[in-house]
Amino acid sequence: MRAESARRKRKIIVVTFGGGARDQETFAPQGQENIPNMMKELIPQSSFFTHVTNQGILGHYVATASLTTGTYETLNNFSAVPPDHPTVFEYFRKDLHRPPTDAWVVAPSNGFNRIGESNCSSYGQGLGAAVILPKHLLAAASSGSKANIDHLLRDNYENPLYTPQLSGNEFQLSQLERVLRLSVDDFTAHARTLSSPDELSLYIARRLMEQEAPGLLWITMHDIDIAHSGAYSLYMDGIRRTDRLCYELWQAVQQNPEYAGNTTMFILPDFGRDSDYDSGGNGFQHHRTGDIASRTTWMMALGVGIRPGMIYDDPIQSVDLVPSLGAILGFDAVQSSGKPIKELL
Amino acid sequence: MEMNLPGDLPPQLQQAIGSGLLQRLPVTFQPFVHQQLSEWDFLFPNERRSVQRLLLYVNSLPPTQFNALFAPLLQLEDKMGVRTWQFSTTEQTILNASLLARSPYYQQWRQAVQNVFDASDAYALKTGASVARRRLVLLNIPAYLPVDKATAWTRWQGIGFVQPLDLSAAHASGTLAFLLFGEKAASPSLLQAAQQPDDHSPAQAWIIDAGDNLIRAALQDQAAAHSTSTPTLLGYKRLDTYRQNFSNEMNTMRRDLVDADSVYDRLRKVDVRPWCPPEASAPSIREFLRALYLSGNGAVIFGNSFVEWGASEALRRARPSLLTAQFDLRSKPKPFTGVAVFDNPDKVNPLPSVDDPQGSALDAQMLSLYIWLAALRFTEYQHDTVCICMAESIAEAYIVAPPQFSLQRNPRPLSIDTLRQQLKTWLA
Repeated sequence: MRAESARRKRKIIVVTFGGGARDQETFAPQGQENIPNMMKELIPQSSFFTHVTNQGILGHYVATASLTTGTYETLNNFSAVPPDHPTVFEYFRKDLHRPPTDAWVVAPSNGFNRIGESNCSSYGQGLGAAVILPKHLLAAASSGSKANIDHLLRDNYENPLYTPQLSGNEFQLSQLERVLRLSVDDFTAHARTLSSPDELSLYIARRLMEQEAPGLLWITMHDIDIAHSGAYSLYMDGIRRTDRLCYELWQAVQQNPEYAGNTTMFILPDFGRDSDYDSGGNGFQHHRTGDIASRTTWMMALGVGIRPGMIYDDPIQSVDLVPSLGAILGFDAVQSSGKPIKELL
Repeated sequence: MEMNLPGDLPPQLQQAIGSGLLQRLPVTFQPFVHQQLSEWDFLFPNERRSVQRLLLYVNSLPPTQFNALFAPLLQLEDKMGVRTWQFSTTEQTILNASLLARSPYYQQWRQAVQNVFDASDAYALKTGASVARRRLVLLNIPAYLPVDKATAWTRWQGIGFVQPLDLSAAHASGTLAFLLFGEKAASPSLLQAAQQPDDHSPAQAWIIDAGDNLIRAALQDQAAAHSTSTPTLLGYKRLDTYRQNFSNEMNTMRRDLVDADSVYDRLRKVDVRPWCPPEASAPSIREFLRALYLSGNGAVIFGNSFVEWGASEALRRARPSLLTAQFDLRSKPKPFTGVAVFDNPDKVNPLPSVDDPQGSALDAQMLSLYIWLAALRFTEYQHDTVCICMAESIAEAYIVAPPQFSLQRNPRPLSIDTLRQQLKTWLA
């Protein structure tokens, strides 16, 4: 009974350290100076997996969708379509009988608005997570004002020529006040004190934690993907900012009574970026070659049920995350092609 | 599929195409070939030679060898189910790229295509169709970009050596302008030394500038008739009108059209001629810039990205004897415009721009290495090419050179005039 109660209180937060960072700018020796918070504060509390491979398509939407389903999805990265296989949110809600308010996604750009729910007939409609697109929310909140922030929605670093139109389960502006308990004015005023979209995502995530305390919260960071513009220094700034935001999120977990002592957090990039030396790419700028640097990355797990200070070098795959969450929370990710990571159990 | 061929295709090539060569090529090989042929008028001499060499080579193969060359690709196409795809054989589209990338056989497919090109290149080397010549890649990180002396060259991983420089002679004009145009009228300039006697195409020498000082110096030099050579000149700031109008088209079109290929298609047809400065008005350069801006590599956003990607594409497409690139300063992204990099940040946010010398210097250091790595992908630059990357703020150059280059590591600062003489000797 006590175990069941503890399991129901258990919270999971997944953060994708995105979009796409190479080992050499993060946890490899020469990159560690870029992630001081994770190195000094988080890694001592963590189990760290040094060799996570992504064998799927290396586009941010499709790769993040694959992370949420535990199956390498093959959807068109630049289309606003749902994943083909059930997402972790659907397993979580259907198998554990959780309400809609218990699973949320905070995602960076328009392309991610269908990530909360698959089109799988045995799961799908009504069983997924609500998706908040903070920038879309900000643009909607600012519509009609003098400030023109339509530019916020032109945010697809991978393909500047196209931004999918929103449809499906996007967050409605009316929910700003109903769910987040924020007035439009307060929200827009606060947003303007922030310097980046990922800071806005963290703000929304913290607000969600305070107001809804979801059991499963998925946050997709995206600032790092400015690397596509070719400015190495801004890519590095993105990594440093994401490092700081991950630490701030973990601090927020500790300060929130609903989360402190109940939460396991996972941080992982959706994939890496191309090597400097692969002739098919342009180094850090893109993730197009499918070389080792672009497919190999890492994962950090910390919090309840995690052995601190452990480093695991055995290869795992990014699709192993969802079945591992299933083993932790008590649902069966039946359609996932991954397998539970034994070191997390 | 019938296609309209440009009138000035070499007769041999016309004959090969007339004999049905294109229809014999694997489906996924056809978009590249069709696109190259349809854009023949805009290709650089090297590209024309390369397409001609490839097509004449495969056309010359007896059926058994032809089949053997393409068999791996055809087998992969079967496995990938290409025939069931909505795949354009006439041009390279975003949909094509997406279909290929989503296939589990994508990496093998890439390798199989590369193998065909490698076979053609090997044949060209064997038959002497490819001529070796000395080349120079000359890069400059200007004085106002602060480079850290201790870490300036670590990314080059010891492939060359550090040479202290005495830049005092070049102080007034800037180092690159001094090297390229600072010669007394009677003596041939470095640019002239790079000119090949058998090839007077502007594509043989490129000067790419993230600012505009270097391009203005080049134009002044041309106007003063000091130089008979006419290099290709690309200046990020001089292309402001082109870039901003193109960017504006990109941003205003997006809402109207249903998919990326439609946007792409329309941007390929926009008349850019009114936006080109005189030095970029030649059809091949105009279209080179359009392709650069469409490629999504930051060339419409940051001057240093424009320089790196422009240089990489020039190396890939034109294989110049001399490529010169100079980096510049960019502004810091304004708060919350990090997401709006495809817009003009000054329009999006009224706050005044703030320079980012440290960030610009870091960008330039990384991107200068990338230019050299881009060169190394091609046989032409692997043996007889000198690469010099100068960092004016620390008065040093990093030099990568083959053993036959006469300049050796010297702890004493090398005068810029001596460097120029060495480079002229090398190219001559």
